[in-house]
Amino acid sequence: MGNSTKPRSPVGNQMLAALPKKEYQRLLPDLEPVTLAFADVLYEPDQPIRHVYFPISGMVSLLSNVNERATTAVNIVGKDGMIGIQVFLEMNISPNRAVVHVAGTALRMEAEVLQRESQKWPLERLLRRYTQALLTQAHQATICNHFHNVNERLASWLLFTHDQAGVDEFPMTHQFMSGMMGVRREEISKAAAAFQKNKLISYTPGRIRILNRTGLKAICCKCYSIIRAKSVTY
Amino acid sequence: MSLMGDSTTISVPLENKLLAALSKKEYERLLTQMEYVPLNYTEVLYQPNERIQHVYFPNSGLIALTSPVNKSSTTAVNMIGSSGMLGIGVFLGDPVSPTPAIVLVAGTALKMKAAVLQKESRRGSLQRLLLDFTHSQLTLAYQAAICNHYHQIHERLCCWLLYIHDAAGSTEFPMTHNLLANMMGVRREEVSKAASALQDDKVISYRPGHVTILNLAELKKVTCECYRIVKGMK
Repeated sequence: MGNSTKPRSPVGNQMLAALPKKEYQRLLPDLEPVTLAFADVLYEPDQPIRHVYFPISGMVSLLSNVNERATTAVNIVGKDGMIGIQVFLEMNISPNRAVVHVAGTALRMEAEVLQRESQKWPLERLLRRYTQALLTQAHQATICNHFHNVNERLASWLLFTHDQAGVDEFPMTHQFMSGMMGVRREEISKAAAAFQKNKLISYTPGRIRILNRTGLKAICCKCYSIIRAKSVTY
Repeated sequence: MSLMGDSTTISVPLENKLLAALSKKEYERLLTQMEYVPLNYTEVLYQPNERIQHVYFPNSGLIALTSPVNKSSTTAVNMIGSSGMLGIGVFLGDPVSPTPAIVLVAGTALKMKAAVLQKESRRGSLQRLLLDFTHSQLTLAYQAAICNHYHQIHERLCCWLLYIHDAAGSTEFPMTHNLLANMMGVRREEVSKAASALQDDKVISYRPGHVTILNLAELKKVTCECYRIVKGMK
């Protein structure tokens, strides 16, 4: 993977890159580059959305919560999409906690600007398509949460994380994974210990290193390939 | 046997809340492009990965999107009743249904060609109403992800019976343990066990293929919080 973090496309975010060049340049003054640090919280549930984010690198997980302590990820957003789709859907309240899962950078835009701009067709078309992708992904999360076991799900999550991190070693805690997967930290630790023993990963407090990606692919649930295959095309 | 018979209603009442929110003029214009159809219990409206030919605005009844998980299991990932439209992918620009749609509660619907919806939903109040409905489908998908993962079978069974009851508008409706199991993503035996406990407590009575609710208040007491949350979304 190397440690290149430079985006390949000049725009970086695939949704923005799919805009006609003139449209993108018109929006540029309203797009502010920001860094996304691991575990940063962008939205809290039921709070108004002030900015939407177009990731250029990294990954943000959207968590739904049953109560304060029990959460589970229902969507992941990377450079293929935008965080804050509710603004487009004319409901400026986040139903989720949005938390940075893989550090990176993003372009952010004020919610009011997006609301105005998303009424123009080129951007609206892209946002509609991305909404469908989020819906399909959420449906898959329902299946995955319910039917797949912790080992399969942890392997899938590590692969998603690895894909977006673009490097073999990244910050991660069992507690964080527990909040993503909606299972107790002890269960994550048990699964991670088995992975470590089989030399699939190595783990030091707060960091995970992927040693054997092929091995993880053999364990992960099919959700990994399904979600990869259903990634949005603009 | 169909509950509807060969209904040939002349004046179609505005029972679909999405259509009812349109201006009279717009509704009447759309009406000429819609066909009144029955929704028959257990009818499959979309096959997986099939191109959507028609969208449906239910006047009554309930449609579930059920994802196949493997050869023997399915689970409902979303549902559509008289407040929405089946076929949101057409609006969002991805008119292939990844999930089968099955009629859980019989009713009627107004059916429209996908191409017509695509054209009509580019602008105007239908577009805004469909954005709103998309928002509630996404929120409902998030709730389903939580419910499938965290809630117990007996609470989820109560929740499903309440959804069905509300859509049927009756305390008596056709339903099998097998169909409930396919919605809930659990084995039929588990549904039967939970249902017989409810029967012992005189909350419901069950004869093959038929459920009668005897104690609605008790059902509302036992259900998981999802019932109230979902009702509150409308």
